[in-house]
Amino acid sequence: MAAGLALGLGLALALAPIVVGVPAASGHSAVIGTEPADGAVLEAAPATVTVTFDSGLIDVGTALVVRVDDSLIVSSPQPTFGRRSLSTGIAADAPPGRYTAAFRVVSADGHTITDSFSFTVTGAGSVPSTSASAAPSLSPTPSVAPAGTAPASPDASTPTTDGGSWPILVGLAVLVAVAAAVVIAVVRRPQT
Amino acid sequence: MLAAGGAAILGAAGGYALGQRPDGTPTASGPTPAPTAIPSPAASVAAASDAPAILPYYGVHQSGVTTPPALFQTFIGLDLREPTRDDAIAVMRLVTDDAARLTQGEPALGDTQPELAASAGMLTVTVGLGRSLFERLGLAREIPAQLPVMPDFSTDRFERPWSETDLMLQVGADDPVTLSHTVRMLAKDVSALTRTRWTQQGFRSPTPATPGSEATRNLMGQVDGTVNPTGDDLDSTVWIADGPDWLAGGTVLVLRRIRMLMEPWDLLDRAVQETVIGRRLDSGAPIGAEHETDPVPFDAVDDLGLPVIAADAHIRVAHAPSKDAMILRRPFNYDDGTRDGGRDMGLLFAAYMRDPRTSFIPMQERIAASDAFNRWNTTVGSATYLIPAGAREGRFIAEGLLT
Repeated sequence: MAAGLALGLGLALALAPIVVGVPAASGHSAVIGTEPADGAVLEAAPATVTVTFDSGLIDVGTALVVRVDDSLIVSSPQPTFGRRSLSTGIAADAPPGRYTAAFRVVSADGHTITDSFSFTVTGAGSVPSTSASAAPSLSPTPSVAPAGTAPASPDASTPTTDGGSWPILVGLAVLVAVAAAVVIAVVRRPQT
Repeated sequence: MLAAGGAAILGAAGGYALGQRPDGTPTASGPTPAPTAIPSPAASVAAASDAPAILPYYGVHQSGVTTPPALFQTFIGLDLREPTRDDAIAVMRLVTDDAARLTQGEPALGDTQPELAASAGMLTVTVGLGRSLFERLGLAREIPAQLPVMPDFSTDRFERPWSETDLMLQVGADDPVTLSHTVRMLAKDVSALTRTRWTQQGFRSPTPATPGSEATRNLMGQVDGTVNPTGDDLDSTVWIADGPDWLAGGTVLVLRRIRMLMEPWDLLDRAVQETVIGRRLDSGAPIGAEHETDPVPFDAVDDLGLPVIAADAHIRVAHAPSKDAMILRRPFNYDDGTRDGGRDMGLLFAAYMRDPRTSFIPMQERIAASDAFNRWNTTVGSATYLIPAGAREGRFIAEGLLT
């Protein structure tokens, strides 16, 4: 499963420069995609949430927290760190609502990137969880979290980098999801 | 500069703004009897003016552990040339006698530069015993449980020659010339019986990290030493309570040579440097708090829901989960110029505790497993010593063990 997702991500990374073009060189890492995409409307909660960057990261101070309606934490306590990506499992019983994924990473050149993006889960349908074994259980946000201080709309929390390519990235995310599903299906076939 | 440093330390010693000691002034630490040596000119000056304090030598505990840290400290690692108990006794006698004189501003017997013994402000001499001393003397069964074989930590990258020796002498002083003289006198007097394997020289800032702080800044500019135990916690953290007379009142020193990887560290922006440690560089306050000594807000999250103190932040990983797990940190900086094209500088991490099995070892295991800071420093040497109880007048350190 993990290998399948990794392969899917690898595909995304390979295609990203072709599809969206190489982001302007700023000297720091920039977000080149998220899964689900910022502003997406999904029928069911995703099994994982992933942020992909255009260059290397170092794993210090790494955090990725996904909350529903700014309160209920539905992500794993420990995000999965990739050299250019960050992902977390989502609780299998995560409810519908407005999801906000906030993340903090350090780029290889020593700068902090902190940002967030949002998507909506309507609860109109359901998809099989691909991370049942790793799914975190639900935990309420610690009471110290200021309530209602998260961005009020998806637009307000759009990562500042490369905003014009988001529609393309939605398509890319679908492509990745399909690729991942195919790989997972292959991996899941009974071993002989 | 030295005068200014001395004055700063005296101010600290007088008012205890820096290195505050719960056991009273340096000249009245616990049940330590007053020194019986005739007051030297230096001691008289110390009592009357701005010179740093003369610390008593004899007592329940050796000085140099909970006494206020001096500005300069040197550690020397020694091995017995011949592993005989007579030689060990002779070494201990010589060191105890020299230390009792030199720390009080008196020349050692046969001192060839007696003038250099006069400025003895904050001078301490502390003796440690390595496991190999017990083993080589046929005293392995006397090794206290508090002096275990230090486990290998996954982040250790040891280099010669900084490993554990039979004996360790720790000398601290505010006057670096006095320090040098004291180290030389001690080494000279035991040179027929011992071989010096290494010398590690450290220094610390005379300036509190922030006004009124008990901590100072290390060479990365971090406020270092904020979370040390005080009051009753200090005694219970440091001193071994039970055991034979040479052991009870002693402690354990873990001395680690930690090279700071300055060049890659310099590439990080300040926010990352602060995230790695979990403290602000300017105030030393935990991120999310206001003052250096504020409690660390381990559970706080920011307005995005992200933890304020990162999961791998040094202060989270190194945090003592209970009082049993506390240690007394007395770090000194070292700067040995360049090595392999990079700066050779870092920390002589000296920590004292009554039992590393409940404190240092679990902490270092956590650090090795997940401390973000590991990427920018490397432990290149480690040595652990039993610091026996202090000597009573007319006796010598570890006499009950060796006789």
